[in-house]
Amino acid sequence: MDFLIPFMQVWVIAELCVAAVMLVLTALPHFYTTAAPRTASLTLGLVLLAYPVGIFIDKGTGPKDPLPVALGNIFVVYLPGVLMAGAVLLAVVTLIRRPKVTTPKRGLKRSDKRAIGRGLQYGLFLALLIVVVIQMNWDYLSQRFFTVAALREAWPDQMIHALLNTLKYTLGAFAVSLTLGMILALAKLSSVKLYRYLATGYIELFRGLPALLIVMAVAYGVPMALGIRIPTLALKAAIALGLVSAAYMAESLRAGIQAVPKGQVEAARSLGMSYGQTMISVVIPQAIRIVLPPVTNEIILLTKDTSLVYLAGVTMAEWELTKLARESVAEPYGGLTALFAIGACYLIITLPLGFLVRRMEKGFGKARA
Amino acid sequence: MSDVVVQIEGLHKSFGDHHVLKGIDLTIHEREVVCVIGPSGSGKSTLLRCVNMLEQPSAGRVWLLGTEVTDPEVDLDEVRTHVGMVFQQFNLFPHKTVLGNLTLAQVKVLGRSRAEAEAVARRNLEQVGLADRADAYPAQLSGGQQQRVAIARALSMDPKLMLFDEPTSALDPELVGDVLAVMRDLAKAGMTMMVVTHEMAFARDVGDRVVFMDDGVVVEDGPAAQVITDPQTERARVFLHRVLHPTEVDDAELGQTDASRAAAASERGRGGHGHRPPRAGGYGAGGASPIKLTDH
Ligand SMILES: Nc1ncnc2c1ncn2[C@@H]1O[C@H](COP(=O)(O)OP(=O)(O)OP(=O)(O)O)[C@@H](O)[C@H]1O
Ligand SMILES: [Mg+2]
Repeated sequence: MDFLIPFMQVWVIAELCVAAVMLVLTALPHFYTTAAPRTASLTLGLVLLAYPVGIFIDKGTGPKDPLPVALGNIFVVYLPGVLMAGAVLLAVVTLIRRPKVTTPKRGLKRSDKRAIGRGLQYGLFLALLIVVVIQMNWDYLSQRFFTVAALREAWPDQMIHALLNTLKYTLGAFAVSLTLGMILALAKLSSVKLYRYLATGYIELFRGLPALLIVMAVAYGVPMALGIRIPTLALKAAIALGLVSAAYMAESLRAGIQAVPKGQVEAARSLGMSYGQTMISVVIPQAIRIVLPPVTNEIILLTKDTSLVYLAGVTMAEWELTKLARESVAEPYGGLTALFAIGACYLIITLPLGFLVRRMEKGFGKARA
Repeated sequence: MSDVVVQIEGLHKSFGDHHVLKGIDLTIHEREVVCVIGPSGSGKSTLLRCVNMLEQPSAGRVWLLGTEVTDPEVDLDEVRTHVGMVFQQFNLFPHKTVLGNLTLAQVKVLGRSRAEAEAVARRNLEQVGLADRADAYPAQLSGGQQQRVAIARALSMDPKLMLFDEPTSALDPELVGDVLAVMRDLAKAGMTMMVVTHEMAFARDVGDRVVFMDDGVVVEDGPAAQVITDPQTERARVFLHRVLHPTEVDDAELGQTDASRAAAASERGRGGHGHRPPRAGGYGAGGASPIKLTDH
């Protein structure tokens, strides 16, 4: 691959020259007459500048393997070539198509300034990305993070099992959280002072304590203190994480219930509906739409908090994703590939959830003003 | 006393140390349409809301259909099923269709079957001229349509008494007529009604009695035409003048003679802004102008 070296020198100099020309042309007040080509010109200039910069600061990341060289061919050689061609084309076309009589205007137009600002943002972002991509030690990364062999042990049985366990713990905890959170929210809105105090006390307490502590307390403290054996780990997880989450859930639900206009309650009560009927048929259905985003947030947090379950002492059958990852990383030839795979598993749970909620929110649109 | 629907005795209501109702006595008989008028903040809404106990009175007693609702032992939910209420802001349930709005309480409270409730609902929608909008959501309706749905919702419970709190005040002027027409039909059909309103023409032509309230007390209570066109008290005269002739109100002292009003008129344009124009004043209100109620 040594033949590339002198060629690269020429290539880098060319890139710098074209970049400089494009930036100068962008700065000329009258060369581009509309915003779009000006933005394109600025972006091209910055991106072409980024390649040489990325290569020059590419030092000390160890020997290059086939992957980065191949990458280099695509990103460092061909793509800049295409970009340079594009830049030259843009400049030439602009030159040819320039209107014959130009009425010189002072300074840049408002739309031009906007375009330059936009172009700067795009250009800088792309330039940064290119520098990072060129800089990255791909072959080291691929070895540490993408060695499929390291997964052989865990894939697919253990991983699917752990994924299902994570889901199970999350759903259990969510059920506890929603039920208890609802009770706490209603207690906080109650006209009975004692209920309000109790709810506030609970919320302050469980919001302030680390979830880790609660998991240990439920797993070891409660059985010791009360002599109750919580039979399964899933139940321990549901209770411990649910107790913590309920504190946050209660606040979200309370805010949602309070956001339903008072007139709704009055209308329902004036029809003879009881407080309970009013809550169930009128207030809560409307509050749900309001609390959907914060509640989704809570589920996502719960999903991740299930990683604390290992503190309760888990058998292999009870491993959830993070525990599996910890064990896999400890394997002799594991590397960090397991972490990467497990991270992807979490996203498999959380991304569809976000998607689902956005869909539901759209569905509600019809009943909105 | 068997035909007494509402009886209020010595009713007081305070919010904190703000004394809003200062001893109200009022009786409404069956088939009577009583319109309550008065300046903003005089306590009209509060009085109405004390009738079906949406506000807890501070003192005094209220009987509805022979039941004392101020008795702490009373089953308020049961009493409220006989009393329909229509709000200024409609308060339809936005997450339910029109039909859902009308059937909800019928099914939950009266225990009617779904089919029966729907039949009742459709009959009432027909009556307010909205039979074709049964499947719409409130947000898809105009203000006037929403208020007519709200009336139909209250009627679906087969109430013996209807309470209206400024039902047309939140409506665009051209939609007011539709709602008033529905209310007029209701009055004609013999419904007992208590209506807080700024629509003086409606009060005069549809009301049997008009009650004028000011500062938490009933100042005048008499036959509709008399109270509107020939008020006996100075306070009522001033109020009605301001409502019926809003353009003649300026910041000179109220209740003056024509001469002094003419003198003050030179300042008009700069003055007058300080006054809140009575909301419905300009709408078909002039004592002489014929009242027009659009038919649906
Ligand atoms: N929930 C409440 N808390 C505190 N004060 C209140 C409450 N409801 C009403 N008030 C006060 O009571 C007074 C009378 O209010 P009310 O709504 O009965 O007047 P109104 O005659 O209906 O006036 P409007 O024509 O503006 O509707 C007002 O000064 C108002 O500020
Ligand atoms: Mg009012």
